[in-house]
Amino acid sequence: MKPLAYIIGMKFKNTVKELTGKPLTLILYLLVLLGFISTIVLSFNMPVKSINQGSVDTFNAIVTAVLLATLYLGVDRGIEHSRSFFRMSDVNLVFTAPISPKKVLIYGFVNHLFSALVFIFFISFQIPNLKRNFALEPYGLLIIYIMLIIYFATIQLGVIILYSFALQSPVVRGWVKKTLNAAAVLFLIGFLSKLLELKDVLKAAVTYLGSDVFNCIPLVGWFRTALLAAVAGIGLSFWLNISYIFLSWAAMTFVLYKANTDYYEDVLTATENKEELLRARKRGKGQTGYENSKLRKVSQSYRGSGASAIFYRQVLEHRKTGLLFINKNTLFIAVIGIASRYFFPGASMKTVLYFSVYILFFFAIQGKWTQELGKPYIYIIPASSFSKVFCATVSDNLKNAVDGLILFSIAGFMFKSDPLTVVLSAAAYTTFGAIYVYGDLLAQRFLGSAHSRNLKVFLKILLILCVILPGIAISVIISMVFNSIPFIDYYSMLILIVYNMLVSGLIIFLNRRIFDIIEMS
Amino acid sequence: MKSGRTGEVMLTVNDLTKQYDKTLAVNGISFEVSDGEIAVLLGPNGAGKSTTIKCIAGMLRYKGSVEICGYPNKSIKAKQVFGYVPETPALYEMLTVYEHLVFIAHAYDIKDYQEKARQLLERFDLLDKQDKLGKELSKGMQQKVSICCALLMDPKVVLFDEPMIGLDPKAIKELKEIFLELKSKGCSIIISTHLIDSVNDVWDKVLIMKEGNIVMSRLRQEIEQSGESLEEIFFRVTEH
Repeated sequence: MKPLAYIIGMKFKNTVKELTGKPLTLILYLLVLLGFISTIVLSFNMPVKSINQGSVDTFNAIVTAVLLATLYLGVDRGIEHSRSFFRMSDVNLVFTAPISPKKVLIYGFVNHLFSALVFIFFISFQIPNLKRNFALEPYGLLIIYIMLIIYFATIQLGVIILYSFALQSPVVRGWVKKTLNAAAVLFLIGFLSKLLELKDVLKAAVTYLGSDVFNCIPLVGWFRTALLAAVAGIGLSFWLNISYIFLSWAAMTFVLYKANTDYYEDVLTATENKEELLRARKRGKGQTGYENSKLRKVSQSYRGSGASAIFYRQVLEHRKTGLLFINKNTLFIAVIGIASRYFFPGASMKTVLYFSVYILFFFAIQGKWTQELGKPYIYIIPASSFSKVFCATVSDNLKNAVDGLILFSIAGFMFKSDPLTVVLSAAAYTTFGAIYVYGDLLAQRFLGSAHSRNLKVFLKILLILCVILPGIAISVIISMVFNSIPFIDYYSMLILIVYNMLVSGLIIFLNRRIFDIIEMS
Repeated sequence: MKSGRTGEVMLTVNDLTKQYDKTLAVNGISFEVSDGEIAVLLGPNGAGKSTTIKCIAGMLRYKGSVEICGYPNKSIKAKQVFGYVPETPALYEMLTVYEHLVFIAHAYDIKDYQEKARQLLERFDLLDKQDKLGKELSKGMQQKVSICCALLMDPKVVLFDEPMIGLDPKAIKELKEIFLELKSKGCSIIISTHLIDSVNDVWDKVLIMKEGNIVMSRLRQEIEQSGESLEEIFFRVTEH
C-alpha cells in the first residue's frame, strides 16, 4: 500500500504547489474551504429561531430520502461509472506493478473520497433548516454528521464489493443494474399509489418515506434508526443498530478480502472514455449525454454550402438522437419545469419560466455550439466568421424554441393560462437560451486565455448573470410600477423578450469576427 | 512570388511567434514552402512543431504573418485551398465515416465529390466501414478519416500534424504515395513529425526545430551533398 499512499500524497502535494502559482485560483479554493469549515462550525453555534414544528415522522422521511438517494447513486456509480475510478496513468503504472488488485481497488476509491466532503458540505447547508424545524437533542447535530460520514464510507465499501462482483461479467453487471432499476421503479410506484390515495404530495411523501418498510432494507434501515436518535434521543435501538452497522463492516471487510478482484480488463475501455471526457472538460466542453445512446439511422440533405453545412450537420445529429429537435433533454426540461410547480408554493407560469431557464443554463453548456468549438472544422471551413457563428447556433436556438413550446404548452394547460401567455413564455425561454449561447461568445472572447476551467465556468456564469439581470430587473420594475395597466403581464414579458433579443443581437454584432480572435481549445 | 528553388511560393511564414503564458512555444520563425515541395518540420517533443502547424491552420492567435497562396491564412480565400490533418483526429461522434465526407463536401462546396470520396475510402480501406460512426472507430481509423476529409477538396497546401501516428503499415505506404502524387500535382505539403524514418523518402526541405526556433533549414540536395544522413544532422543539431 506504500507506493499507492505515495501517489495520493504526491498528488495532493503537487496540487497545492500548483495552486500557489495561480493566486486567483488559490483564493477561490481558499474561499470555498473557508466557507466549508465555517458552515460546519456555524451549524453547531448558529442561533436559529426555532419553531420546532416538524414531527419525528417528517424528520424520518427526510432521513430516508437522503439515505435512499445516496444508496441508489452510490450503487449506480459502483456498477457503471466506478469502472472509471482510475486514470490512464493508474492503468499503465499501477495495474502493471506488483501490487494486489484489492489494494489497487481501495486506492481507486480512496481517490474519490473527496466526494464525501462535497456530500457533507451540502448537508451542512441544511443544518439551520433542521435546527429551525425540529427539536434536535443537544448531541443531535453530532449524531447527524458522524452517522452520515459513516454511512457514506459504508456505501463506498459496499460499492467496492459490488464492484468486484458486478464486474465479473457483463451479464452480472446487467442483472445488478436491472435489479437496481426495478427497485427504483417499485419505489416510485409505491409513492405514486400513496399520492393517489392521499392526493397531497407533501403528505404522501412524509407518510410513504416514514413507513417502517424501509427499516427492512439493510444499511438504510440501520442508519435511519440510528439517525432518529438526533430527535428522539439515544436508546437501546440506537446501540442495537450501531452494532449491526459494525457487524456489517466486519462482514464486508471479510468478503472484500475473499473476493476475486480480476477487474483490470473491464476497467481499460472505461478509463479511456473517462480520459477522453476529462480532456473534453479541460477544453471547457461537457458531455453530450449521447455517448452511449443508440442513434437512429436517418439521412440529411444539405442545401447550400459553406457555413450552412454546419447547420445541416447539426440537424442530422439532432435527428439521430430524437424526433428532430425533440429528444430526452426536451423531456427532462419539461419534467423539471412542471415539477417546479410542486417545489415552490404559489407557483405560476413565471415560476416555471425562471426555474426552467435556470436548468437551461446547464444544458446550454452542452449545446451544439460549445461542442462545435472543440473540433477543428469550424475554424478551417472557408466561410465568414459571422456566418459560422450564425449557422453553428441556429440549431441550438431552434431546439430551445421547440423545447419552450412543449414545456409551456403543458404548463399552460396545468395553470389554465391563455395561449398568449404560453407563446410569450416559450419566446422568453428561447431568448434566454439565445443569451446563454451568445454569452459564450463573450466568454470565449474575454476569458479565452484563462486556463483554469473552473475559474472560466465561474466567470462565465457571472458574465451571463450580468447580461440577463438588467432585463429581468427592467421587466419586474415595469410590471410593479404600471401594475394597474391592463395586460401589464404581457407587456412585461414582451419587454423581457425584446431585451434578450437586443442583447443577443448586440453580442453577435460585436463578436462577428470572433473566429479571427479565438483559439481552438 | 517565386522561391529560390521550385516555383511559386504557396506558404509564407514570417516572424511567427506564439507564447502560452510564460512559455515561448514558437520564437519568431520564418520559412517558405513552394508549390510541389514537401517540407518537413522535425524536432524533439516540445520543439513547437504542432504549435506552428496550428498557427498556420488558423487555430491559434500568434504574432507575425502567415500567407497561404498569397492570402492571409485566416481569410476565406486561404481556407478554400488548404487542408489540415490534426495531430489528434477529431471526428463527430454521431456522424458516420461517409457522412463526414458529405459534410466536408458541402462545407467546401465540392461538386461531384462522390467518386473522389469513394476512391479515398478505398485507398485507406474504409469502404466497408463507411457506415460506422466516428465514435466507433479506432484512433488509427479516425486518423484515416481525417486524412480523407483533408484531401477531398483537392487542396493546394496540406498541413499534416504527425500524420503517421496510429496508422497501419498499409496506410503509411498509401499516405507516402499520396504525398508524392500531391507533389506531382504542384501541391505544397508541410509535415510535422518527430519520426525521421517515416518521411525519409519524400521530403524536399527540412526545418529542424528546437525550443521554438528553427535551428536548421536545408534542402534535400544540400543534405545529400554534405554526406551526412538526416538522422545524423538531426541529432547533431538538437542535442547541443
